[in-house]
Parts: sequence; C-alpha cells; structure tokens
Amino acid sequence: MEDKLRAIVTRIENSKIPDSDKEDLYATISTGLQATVWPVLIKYMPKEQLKDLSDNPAKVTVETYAKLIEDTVKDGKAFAEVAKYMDQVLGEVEKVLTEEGI
Amino acid sequence: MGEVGVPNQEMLHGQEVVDKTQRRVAETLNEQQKKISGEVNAFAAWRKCADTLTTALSPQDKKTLFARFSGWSLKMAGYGSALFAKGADLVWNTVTWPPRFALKYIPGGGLVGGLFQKDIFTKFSTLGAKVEEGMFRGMAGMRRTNEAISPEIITNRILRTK
Repeated sequence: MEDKLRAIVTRIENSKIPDSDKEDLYATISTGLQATVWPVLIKYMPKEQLKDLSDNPAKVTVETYAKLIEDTVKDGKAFAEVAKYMDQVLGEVEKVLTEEGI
Repeated sequence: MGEVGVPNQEMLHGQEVVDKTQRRVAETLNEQQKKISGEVNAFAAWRKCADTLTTALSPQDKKTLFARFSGWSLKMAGYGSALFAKGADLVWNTVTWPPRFALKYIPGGGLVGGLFQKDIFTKFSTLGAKVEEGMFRGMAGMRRTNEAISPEIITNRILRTK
C-alpha cells in the first residue's frame, strides 16, 4: 500500500495543478484512508467485552481499552480487511488521476 | 500573462481533479460501508467507551496508552507487512488525538450513521481538510521557502499525521 501511495503522490507532485489543489488531494486521500479503519475495527470488536465496557464506564481504563483494541486485531483479520479497503480507496484515486491525465 | 483573478487552465483542471477525487473516494467508502452495515449499536457502544476514556486521560495515561500502541505497532509489523504498523499508527491517531477524534463526531451523524453518506462526506472532507491544515501548513511553508519536498515526506505525512 505504501508503494502505491508513494506512486500516487509522485504523480500528483509532478502534475501542473496548483499546490493548494495538491494539498486538498492529499487531505482527501488521508481522510479517505483513515475512514476505512474504525468501521472495520468495530466489526471485529469482541461484542461482549465492548458491551461490558459501554455499560460500565467505570471499567473503561487505558488497560481495558487497550485490551479491547488488541483483542480486536490479534488474529490479523481486521487489518487484512482494512488493507483491502485502503487499497480500494487508493485504486479509485489512481483511476481518477489516469482519467485526468495526471 | 493571465488576467488577475481569472483562473487559468491548470487552476480549473486542479479543482476538477479535487472534486472528482473527493466524489469517487466518497462513493468507494459508501460501497464499503454497505458491506459493514448493521454495526450501528456497536459503534455507539465504542463511541461511549472512547468518550469516557478521552475525558479521563491524564498526561501519564496518554504516555501509557502510547507505549501500549507502540508495542502493538511493532507486533503488527511482525505479520510481515509495514501496513500493519502504519495501520496501527492510524488507529493510534484516531483513538487519542483529540482533533482527529472530534472528526468522528459529525453532529447528528456519527461515523457509521452518517459519514459515508455522500453529503455528510463532503462536510467531513471539508472539516478533514481543516484539521489536516496544520500538517499541510508545514508543507506549504516548505514550498514557500523552496525547500525540497519529496514524495516520501508527503507519503509519510499522510500515513503518520499527528
């Protein structure tokens, strides 16, 4: 993914569009990538653990929250899905750049 | 020389590319969201937990959490892909950095409830650009001083925005 992103940035940097538009594109890519993360993580969160913390705010500590996230990603499935969605976002950006001759 | 105030061809093309990219990214996220539907209650529960945590975080707690997530990033990298570490950075940012955290709370919407609706995404995108302003202001400053900005620097900023 990083190589794909770098190639996109290189294409944008080498284009003649104004710097302010380049920065808007980077912001769009950045927010687009980040938007893929939480919905997937929430899908994989252990629901019992999540419900227990949600119903008992006093139990929400750094330790319990970190455990919730760690348990969400420990088998790697969530990140594999995030990676897939991030790849789709970058793929769409690539297509637009190609269509626009960038 | 172009007339002052009249956009030239590059400016028009640039805006077209930005608009098209924002639209297509929003559409892609919309499609993804359809595949992850039915998680609204879980999202609300998580948001409550995250709210509780961020309200209670002390400076020491932040250090502790950062240490936990740093170790976690390294562990994820062990899966064989740098993406996992980068992904962990993104998660770290969304969990703990207040401005980015606030991004998730679109009034009347919420991430699952509204972010992926096209009209909300437009608002999100505008808001996102504002939040990212600090990150890109530094980049713009470098442009003004003609300091070299490599694709590596920009790529890293996109992946590691703190």
